[in-house]
Amino acid sequence: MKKIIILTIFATLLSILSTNTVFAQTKSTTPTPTPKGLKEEGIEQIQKIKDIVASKVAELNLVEKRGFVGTVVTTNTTQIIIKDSANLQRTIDIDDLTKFEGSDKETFGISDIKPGDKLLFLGLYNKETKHLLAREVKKSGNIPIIISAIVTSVSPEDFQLEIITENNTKMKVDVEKSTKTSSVSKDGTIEKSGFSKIKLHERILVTGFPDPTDTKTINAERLLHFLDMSPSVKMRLHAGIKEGSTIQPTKASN
Amino acid sequence: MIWDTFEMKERFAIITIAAGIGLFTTSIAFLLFKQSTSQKPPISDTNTTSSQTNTTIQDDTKNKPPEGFFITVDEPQDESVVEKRTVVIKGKTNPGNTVIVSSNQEEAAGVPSKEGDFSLSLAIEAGVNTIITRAISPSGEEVVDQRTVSFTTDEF
Repeated sequence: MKKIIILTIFATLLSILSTNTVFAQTKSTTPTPTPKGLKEEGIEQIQKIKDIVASKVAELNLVEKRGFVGTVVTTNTTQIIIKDSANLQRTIDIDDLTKFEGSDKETFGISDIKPGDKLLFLGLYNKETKHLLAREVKKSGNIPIIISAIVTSVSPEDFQLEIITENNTKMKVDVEKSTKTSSVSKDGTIEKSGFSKIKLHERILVTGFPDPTDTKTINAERLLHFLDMSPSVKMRLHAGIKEGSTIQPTKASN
Repeated sequence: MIWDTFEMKERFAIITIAAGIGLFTTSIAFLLFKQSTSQKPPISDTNTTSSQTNTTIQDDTKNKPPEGFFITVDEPQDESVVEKRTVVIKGKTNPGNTVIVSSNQEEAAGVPSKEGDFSLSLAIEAGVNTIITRAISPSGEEVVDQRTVSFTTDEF
């Protein structure tokens, strides 16, 4: 009996002691001492690896792929300063890996770039320096202009339209055989259409490129005319439309 | 010493019982400790909870469309570079508007949901593309968002 009591006391004491040891390990806030067995060289190497990993992580977070369009302001052998679509000044860095590509795959270099040129840039953007390290520089000839306007004249003989934009810019639109014409309705349905379906005073979206000989003429790549969506008040005003007038169909044949 | 009074079998029994009780007590203590830390977050976490509440309020405000005629485009990011020839344009406008999106290559159109959300797929060309998103109101007014999205699979 005596032995059993002693045995129980002994076991309980042992268990309490072990529990306290666990708590002490969990709550300890003292830093783990450096193992004495590690050589200084080893520690230095670990530190170097840590630094490399940290700098790579920072680099990855700092740099991202970006692409934008801009008009050249100034240029030198290593940099191009441009103004973007929001009229903000941006800096493009050029290095040996930067590729230059003109229209029709012609090559050009930084020395060919002049103020006023519109260029496309693809590269690595540094969020800290806000510079783009260009990997590709292209002439922006392949970006079409997209104009929202009202049709003010339809000429079925020469397949030409006259349009006025909301800011009262008058333009001519040359419709080619290759021009893709579609219509869109209020519910968002786009359907194939033709030149003959375009009505006077209809709202239209013209996608194309300026005529090299006449900047006021657009060579249309695509036309999207709006079936049941009226032009804006400003467009109607510039087109001289009186309130309540109806849109007249043209007699053009496609 | 007391330990010496025990036989080998008894010593083994004491160690086993002690280890068992020790493990049991440690487990209970650990569970209690874990429960107490999850119920009482540290002071720094209290601040997080507070800011999270603020974020929720801000998110609610963000979900409400601003007054007037508007368009917001959430995706794709301006000046982003993608590796697919199709981009999905997601955003918000007034319900009842018609949304037209245009790239260098094509147009797509649709109407927003009752909440004003819209999502339209659009093909893009290789290189830099201008994506124009227009919301046209029933009265004919339009509001436009313009951004640049580039397609390339080149590694640089």
